[in-house]
Amino acid sequence: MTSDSVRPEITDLILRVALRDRVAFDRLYAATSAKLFGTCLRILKDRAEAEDVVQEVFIGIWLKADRFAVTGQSPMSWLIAIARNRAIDRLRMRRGVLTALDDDAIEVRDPTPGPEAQAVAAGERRALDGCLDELEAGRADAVRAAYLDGDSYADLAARHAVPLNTMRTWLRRSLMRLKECLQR
Amino acid sequence: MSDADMDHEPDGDDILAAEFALGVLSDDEQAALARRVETDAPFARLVAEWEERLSPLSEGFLPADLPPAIKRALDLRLFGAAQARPWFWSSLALWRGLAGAATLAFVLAMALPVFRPAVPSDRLAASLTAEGSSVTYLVLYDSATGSVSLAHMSGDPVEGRDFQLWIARGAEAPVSLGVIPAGVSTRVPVTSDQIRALMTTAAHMAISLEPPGGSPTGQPTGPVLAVGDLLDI
Repeated sequence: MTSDSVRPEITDLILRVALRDRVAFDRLYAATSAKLFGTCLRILKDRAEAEDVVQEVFIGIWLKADRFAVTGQSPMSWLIAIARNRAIDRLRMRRGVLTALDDDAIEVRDPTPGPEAQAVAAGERRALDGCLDELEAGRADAVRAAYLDGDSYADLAARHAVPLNTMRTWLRRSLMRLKECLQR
Repeated sequence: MSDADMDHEPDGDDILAAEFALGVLSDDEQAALARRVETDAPFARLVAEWEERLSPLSEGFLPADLPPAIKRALDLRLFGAAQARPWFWSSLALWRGLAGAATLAFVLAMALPVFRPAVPSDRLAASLTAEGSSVTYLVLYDSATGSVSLAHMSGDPVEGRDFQLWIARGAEAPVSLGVIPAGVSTRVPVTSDQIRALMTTAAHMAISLEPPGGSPTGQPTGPVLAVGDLLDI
């Protein structure tokens, strides 16, 4: 798991939140809300919606903090997973209403991920980047688009102009190759 | 999307966990697997492993500041207007919801040893449960503050009886930490050196049902409502 220095503090705060410690909840919010809001914002690309979803994320954290210890995850990965899941749920709900994909919104991306080093140890990022580089270019992009923008198989298939099951086969193989590569 | 062939391969659950963690499946499939995560611990573990594996990608999520009004709105949604009440009364509805978390406390007790970090820790936790008893507590001990926090997860007080908290090492006689308010979350200061010395992973904690004011003998006399090993966290 991660060896970053934030881990003990955030872990401690989550465990205290599990014991309904409001002060710990406030501190956890102060320490992580910008990152989790950034997560929602990137996926939803709508500030008002992301502001609403990030509140749902923290409600979920308050209610589910007692499960954190069970997962064996590093704290930021656990928190970001909650934020991603909520944001993707909202994204799908919205798309269900709109039905069509908004291609313009997908193009509006920050081209350069900044030096946000807090959440992840640099070594782990390098390892994953290295393994993504071993995949064919389009497939690494698909993994990144799914993770960062909440693209579904249907979205990815449409963008790459391939049948959905083809996209699924590609991505499944890519994910398994990633796992093998990371275990080397 | 039916992919039965793939799901029957040995790696079926693992790849399904990867797809679920990534969030690429259809709405129906995502929802079905979200329910599975709640009940299927091995599958939940696979999902957690994939979330961890993919987490370096989260560097692409740039932090963005939130207006202070959002935190106020959040507090209002979570805790209502009654901010001044003691923390453990903050939401009755929430506590009702948590009663259902008793099984989770059990899961926690089962799963913690698996994930026990090798690093030494000055913090210990225990999940107190017992077969045939609905009383469940989550215990956190912090040597820095020298106090035991008890989160009441489920189980009602018994009229005319008190809950008493104990610690014991192996088969040694239990030592009392005193009577605790039944059926609510609370904090118990650890002032005795004897008890502080007992606070290690070699010990377990328990709650017994006692006459009002606590056991008259200095040893548990009533049934043990909940018990659990102290674990490093």
